[in-house]
Amino acid sequence: MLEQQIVNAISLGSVYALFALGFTLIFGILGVINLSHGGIFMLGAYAALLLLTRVNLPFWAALPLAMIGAGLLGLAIDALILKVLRKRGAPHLMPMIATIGAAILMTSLAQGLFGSETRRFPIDLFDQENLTFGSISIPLLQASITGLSVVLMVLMIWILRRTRLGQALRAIAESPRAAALLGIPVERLFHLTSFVAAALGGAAGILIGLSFDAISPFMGQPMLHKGIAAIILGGLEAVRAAVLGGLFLGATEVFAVTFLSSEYRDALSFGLLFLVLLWRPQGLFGAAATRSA
Amino acid sequence: MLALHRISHHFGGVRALDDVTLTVEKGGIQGLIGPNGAGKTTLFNVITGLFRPSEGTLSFEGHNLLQMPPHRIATCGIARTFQNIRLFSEMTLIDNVVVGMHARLAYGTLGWMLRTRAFRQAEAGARQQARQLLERVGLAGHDNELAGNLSYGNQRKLEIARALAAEPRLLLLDEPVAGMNSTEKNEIMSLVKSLRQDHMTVLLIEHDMRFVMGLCDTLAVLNFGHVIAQGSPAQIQANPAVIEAYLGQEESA
Amino acid sequence: MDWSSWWATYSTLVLSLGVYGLMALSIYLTLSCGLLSLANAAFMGIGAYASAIVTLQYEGSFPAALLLGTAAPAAVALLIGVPVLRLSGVYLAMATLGFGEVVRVIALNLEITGGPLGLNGIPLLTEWWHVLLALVVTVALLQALRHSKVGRAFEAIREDETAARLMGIATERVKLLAFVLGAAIAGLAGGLNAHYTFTLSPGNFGFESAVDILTMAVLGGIQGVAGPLLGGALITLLPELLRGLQEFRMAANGLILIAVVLFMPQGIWAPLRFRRRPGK
Ligand SMILES: Nc1ncnc2c1ncn2[C@@H]1O[C@H](COP(=O)(O)OP(=O)(O)OP(=O)(O)O)[C@@H](O)[C@H]1O
Ligand SMILES: [Mg+2]
Repeated sequence: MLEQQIVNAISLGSVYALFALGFTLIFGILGVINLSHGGIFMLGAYAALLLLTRVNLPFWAALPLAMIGAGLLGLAIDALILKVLRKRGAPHLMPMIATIGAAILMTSLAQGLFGSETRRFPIDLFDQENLTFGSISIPLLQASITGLSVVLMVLMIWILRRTRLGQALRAIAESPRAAALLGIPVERLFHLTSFVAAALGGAAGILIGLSFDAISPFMGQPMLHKGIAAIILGGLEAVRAAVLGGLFLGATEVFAVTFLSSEYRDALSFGLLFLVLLWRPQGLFGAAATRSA
Repeated sequence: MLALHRISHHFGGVRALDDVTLTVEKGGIQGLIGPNGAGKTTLFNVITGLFRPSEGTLSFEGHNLLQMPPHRIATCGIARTFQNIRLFSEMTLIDNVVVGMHARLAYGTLGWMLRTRAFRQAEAGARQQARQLLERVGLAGHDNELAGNLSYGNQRKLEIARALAAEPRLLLLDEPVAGMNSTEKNEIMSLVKSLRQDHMTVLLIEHDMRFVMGLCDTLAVLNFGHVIAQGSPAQIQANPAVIEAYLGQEESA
Repeated sequence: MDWSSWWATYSTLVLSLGVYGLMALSIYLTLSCGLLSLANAAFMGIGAYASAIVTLQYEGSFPAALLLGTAAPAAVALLIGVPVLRLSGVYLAMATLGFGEVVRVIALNLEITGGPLGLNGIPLLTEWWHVLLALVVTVALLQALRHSKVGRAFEAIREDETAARLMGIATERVKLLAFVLGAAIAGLAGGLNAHYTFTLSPGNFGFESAVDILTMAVLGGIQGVAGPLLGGALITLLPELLRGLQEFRMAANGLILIAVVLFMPQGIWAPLRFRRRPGK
């Protein structure tokens, strides 16, 4: 029973972490709170749904294609909105408002195109099998969701920590101007970051859609709140902290439902969030004020 | 008047200030010079409370500045300008100067809510005085222009007016003539000289040696966070350690 | 159409114009101090619930209800302001967004707030002149503030907090004042709002309304009290103006936000625009 809950916590937490990771990438590297990340997440899920049901692609093809679609959307937001504001040196408020606008637009577009009702992925995507490890048995679906998000996160962290690209990105996170002086193509990497972050957001949307068996135009907003919660809990500016924050949030929710009641799920996690804000604004796992990707 | 005793301040591994002991005597104009990165601005930031030094003591007219937040230090009688100009650029010139008087405007909450007589008198007086200060620094007639529209040199002048508005007893000027032409430099020089009559004490950072030597009574030289020399301008010019420090900079530059 | 039937049709709209004008002013106040706070909708909610509980469950008088509706969010703002205002910029925005969610979740779970169903049957006590009076007093207060040392301190903090502090401004206290005053105005608006809408529910004061209110201030401009009032009126009238496009109201909102940020960053009402002399 407890083992099962731990598995559930890791599974939910890893998807939150995946969402938060994209959000943090934009925050750390572009220095922008991208409030349209929830919208991208939602449209990613719809893109996969269309590819699966209308185009009849298999899941392994639909997932990367939908991620690319989400990534292109993120790229468009960067090129059409964020870039303009960067050039102008606009204050923090501006990208936030513009991306809220984009999020609202995406939600109502999705409502118009797909309707307001909840949709589902086809049920036969995954076998109804269980993987068993000793006393724990995990449905294949849940194992795949967890596995996929862990793979994506590890890949991202590896890129950031171990590659030259990651080094360049960390330099930009430190100071875009200094990075430009070093000859790093800052604008191109801003675009790339926006693309990758949005692709991760889209992937999170597909995985959450699978995990809760529900896709709706309104799924982005609550997820955005969870992403914000995860990042505040973890620590605003570090990738590692965002991942830990996501896992922590997932665990809180799962255990709140198990040991208290489902009504207290949000109350507990947001209450916790608030306490963290009051006592440790830099987050539970965040290093002090350093910016690092 | 101002006494720093064994002050050290580190940024990560960089020892921006290392065991600095320095006093500023009342009434004089003291210069603080040293090569780029010597720690001069850091010293100003420590005095004004922006940085808390890792070691040492700091007092001003008997007050322990290390226990005060920056705004209290300011109201104690220390005002400053900034090397990288920090004006309120979307505010008018006159409002910039009046902000400098913030702590001196004594009306309370009820005063501004009800626009009492005391309030109106204080505000009118403040504007009047601000206009005089603008005139004094050579910015008369531009009262209602936005500070951001001023030329570089005029922005430096406005910063000085804003600092003077607080009627400080100690004025800290961080490179007041950087980027100015020689006419403007002469204006600032006579302005700073005229502050003696107001019994104001000045501590100023400047790279322009003609300006510093022509103006200051005493000088202190910082290099790599250490005070390497103190004395009159003539003594400093003859000091081998100082010459060494500046030559070292020339070579590496 | 005679007066009484016109009023019967449009009273809610007219009262909303005033109430959202107040909300726009409340966020203008915090923005003018450089605080990117998105908590105002939550403060409105606290005010609305507090005052509705007074009239509905304790049969208190309307003035008492409004008083509590103003005081309760101000007290909450005072409490959370001290730690939260240590954050700045985007961090503060995140934190206040989180706070808004906390308030919504609390309203959803408490008995006294009626849980997910909210409160119903709130007496209809708000008259047009109450709203007008609240608006006039608030505008007068904000104008007086703007032309005092406190208003200048707000502006100075918004432009450069460090420089402001070194001018002797007790920035923490001034920011707290802006935060608390903004909460009080939002609470008053909430109290007035509760007593003409008949019902309240936790969803009324969530993220969407926080965004709506922000839109009002940004669309109108925050260089004076006229901007937010104008923005508040436009956003409140928008559904009327776009009648028949109801589902696209949100889409229009989104587009307006993007367009304003890209093409009119200072908002509609921007007198400073004309102060800038070209060429320098
Ligand atoms: N906020 C900071 N964070 C990290 N390092 C800093 C910071 N401010 C200054 N430094 C470092 O401290 C040292 C002293 O800097 P400071 O600005 O005090 O020099 P300075 O004497 O004013 O030089 P300049 O004449 O160029 O203005 C430098 O090595 C600088 O890089
Ligand atoms: Mg310096």
